[in-house]
Amino acid sequence: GFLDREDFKDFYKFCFQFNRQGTHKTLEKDLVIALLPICLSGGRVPSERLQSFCEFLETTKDESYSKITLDQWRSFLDFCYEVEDLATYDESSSAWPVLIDEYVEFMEKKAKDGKKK
Amino acid sequence: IEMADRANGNIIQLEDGWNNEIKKRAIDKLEQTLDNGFDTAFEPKEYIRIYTTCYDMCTQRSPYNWSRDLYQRHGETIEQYLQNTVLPALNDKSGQGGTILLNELKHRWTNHQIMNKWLKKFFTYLDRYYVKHHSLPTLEQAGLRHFKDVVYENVKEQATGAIISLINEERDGEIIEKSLVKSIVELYENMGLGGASLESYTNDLEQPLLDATRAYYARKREDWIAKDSTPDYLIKVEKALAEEKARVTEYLNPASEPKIRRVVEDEILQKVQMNLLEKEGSGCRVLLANDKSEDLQRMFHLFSRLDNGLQPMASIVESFITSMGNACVEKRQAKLDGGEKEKNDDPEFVKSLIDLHEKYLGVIRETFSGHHLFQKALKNSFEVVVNQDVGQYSNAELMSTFCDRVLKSGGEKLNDSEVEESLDRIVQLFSFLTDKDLFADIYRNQLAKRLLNQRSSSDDAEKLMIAKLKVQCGTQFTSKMEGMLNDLAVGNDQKSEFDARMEQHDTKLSFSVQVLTTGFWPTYKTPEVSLPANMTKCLEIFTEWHDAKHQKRKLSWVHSLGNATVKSIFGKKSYDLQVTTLQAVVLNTFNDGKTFDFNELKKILNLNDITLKPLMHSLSCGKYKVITKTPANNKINSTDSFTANAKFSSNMRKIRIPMASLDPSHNKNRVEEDRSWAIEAAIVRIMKARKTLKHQELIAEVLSQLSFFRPQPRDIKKRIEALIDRDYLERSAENSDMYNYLA
Repeated sequence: GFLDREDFKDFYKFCFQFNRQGTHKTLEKDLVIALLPICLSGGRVPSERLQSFCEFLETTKDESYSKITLDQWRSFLDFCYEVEDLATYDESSSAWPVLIDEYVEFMEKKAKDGKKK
Repeated sequence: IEMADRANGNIIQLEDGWNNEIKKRAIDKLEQTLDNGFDTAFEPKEYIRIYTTCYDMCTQRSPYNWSRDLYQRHGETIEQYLQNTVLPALNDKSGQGGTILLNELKHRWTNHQIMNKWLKKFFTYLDRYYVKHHSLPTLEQAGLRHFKDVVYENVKEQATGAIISLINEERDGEIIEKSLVKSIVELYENMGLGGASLESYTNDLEQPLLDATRAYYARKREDWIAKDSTPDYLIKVEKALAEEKARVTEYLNPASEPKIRRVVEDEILQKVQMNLLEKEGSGCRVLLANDKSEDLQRMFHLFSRLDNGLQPMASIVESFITSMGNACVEKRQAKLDGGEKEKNDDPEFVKSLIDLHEKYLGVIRETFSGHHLFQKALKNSFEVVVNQDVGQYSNAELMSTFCDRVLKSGGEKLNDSEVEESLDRIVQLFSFLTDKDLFADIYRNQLAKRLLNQRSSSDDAEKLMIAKLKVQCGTQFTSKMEGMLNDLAVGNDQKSEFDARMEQHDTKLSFSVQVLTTGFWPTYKTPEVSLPANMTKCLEIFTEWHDAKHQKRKLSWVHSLGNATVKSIFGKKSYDLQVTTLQAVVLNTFNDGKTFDFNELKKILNLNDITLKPLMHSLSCGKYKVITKTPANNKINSTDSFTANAKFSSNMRKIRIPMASLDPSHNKNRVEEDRSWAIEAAIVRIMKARKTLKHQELIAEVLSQLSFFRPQPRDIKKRIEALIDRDYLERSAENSDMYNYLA
């Protein structure tokens, strides 16, 4: 892309803020699922990561994730930058939002189920 | 005549003085008497003569000053005597067994001390000037030195061997000559350089003895550990340690006591510590299970001698108590699995935990001397056990209900000191509870019920319990409870004043009001029931009186909590029915034989189904059916119709008609909300003080600040995110692991 990492972070943050409705501080989950691939197109983030995260958002039944906060939105990008290998993820020391913890858990379960098959 | 010669100023020549006077009169005689075994060999007259000879020979003017020679010859005399007489005598005895050698050595040492003493006395003048002037060893020191070099160094190994043999014999139960050993030990003590140092004793006797002691007890240990149970083994240890200690007192140097003790402790305790603790059939766990307090006490005292000797034992105690506690929990689980109905009350279970705690509190106090490691073990185990909830009702609730039993009238029949004891013990159990805030919430609800229904057995007991909780948890924890008691106290104070006001009106009802301060009390439903006119009038009188006193307060009536006594006449008999306010309102509606169906009642009374159904059930389906329901069954349906039961009768005059509570026992959601709030308040407090903090440190700080419950890290994180969302905090741009406080 034409922006370096730090500048892109600002653009990415702007994407979220631009799409907010009225005085709402959050975005609807469905909107986020549609928006993420657009904002992060062109390999900003490994496509597998992007896809699986959207899959997680779609399948989670947790009501509290029906709306996504700015913090959660921004953390996703930072998370993709900093944590390439999910195997190194340690929840007990992680400051990442719980949404990310649950995403990692989702991926771990998926891997286990995949092995069983 | 010879003395007179000197007085005349005749010079004494060296050889003359030495041979004719000193050697003949002093040394030879001395040696002879030593061989014969006497001590007091010299009469004053003889002594003075010899002394004077030496004196003169040392004070004559040069070149007739024989100080140096006399000093030399003093040494040579001793040395020769030792070489020619003493050493051969010892060597003669050396092949004949330890005691014989030691006895000879003792004899020769005693002799040497005598010889040294007399020679010192004769040659004293040398000590005063010559020795000092030339910085030489004193006569006594020189004499000792010679004994050491000639005799001691040659005999010490055998002597040490002999002593050690004797000591080992004594250890095996033989009787030995202690005074002999003591005398030889004194010899060793005196052989240190300069006489003051214990070096010879330490190196030549003590060290070999320590080695021998180690070997001896290593053998004993192997022998005992194979055959003995732990208690029997420990009795032997105790005995051995006592014997060794006594031995030192009797004939060794005190400096050896700690060293010998440590060797013995090491060999027979330290090296088999785990073996003893875990021995099958007699180890620590078995002793605990069988309440063998004497054996445990002995074990405690012995292991406390070792470095970190008590931790392994404390760990076993902890694990044992935990398993006992778990057994209580399992018993409860089994009861529930067996189909027993789930209740919020399980006094048997709570009491079993209390009894268990009391028992081991006592054990720790008496058997383990209240040692802090064991107190910690008890605490750790109960923190595990008490928080194991089983079934639908948490242990927090079971414990609160236990208190309710103790505190309510008609509960447990206990006298004052029994009440205090029970409360004391439940508070101790409470201290281990993680969810203290949950306990508080349930306790407050139950307290409110007791207070409002006048079912509290003793105001003092209520205050006592609150005071105990306050000591445990601080003022903030009990402020609402205290507020509740205070409301009642204030109400009591003002009762007579309002009663006087009531008398001024003629309502035909006796009426009193309890004012509750919102916030102290649980929240209750406030059904806006339509009251009959006479009741409404009472409310108005009260409101007028109250508002005049407190202009700023707003009253909100909670009719679901009130009680009433309804005087009723069924047929010819009259009864006093003790009912709730709502029940009274319903009964009033059915005066004059009226009939209503359920939906009509709803409209008249302005009540919903949730309230009216249990209400009608209590009056028409319970034990005292004062209202007749059609059709007659046990369920209230909206198609039912009701009328007063003209045929109602009972033997009793006063009848209490109970009703199911309209409010839940406590508000689980409120506890959760309060927790969220408490976590956020803690986070803000911490971040405000620290300005910037790493994630893990923040989590740790939050956990340490929350004393009444223990949240999961994820719950804390959710609160952090919420605060980020509300701009109290932000994530650090430089470090995704850190937070900054936003002022």
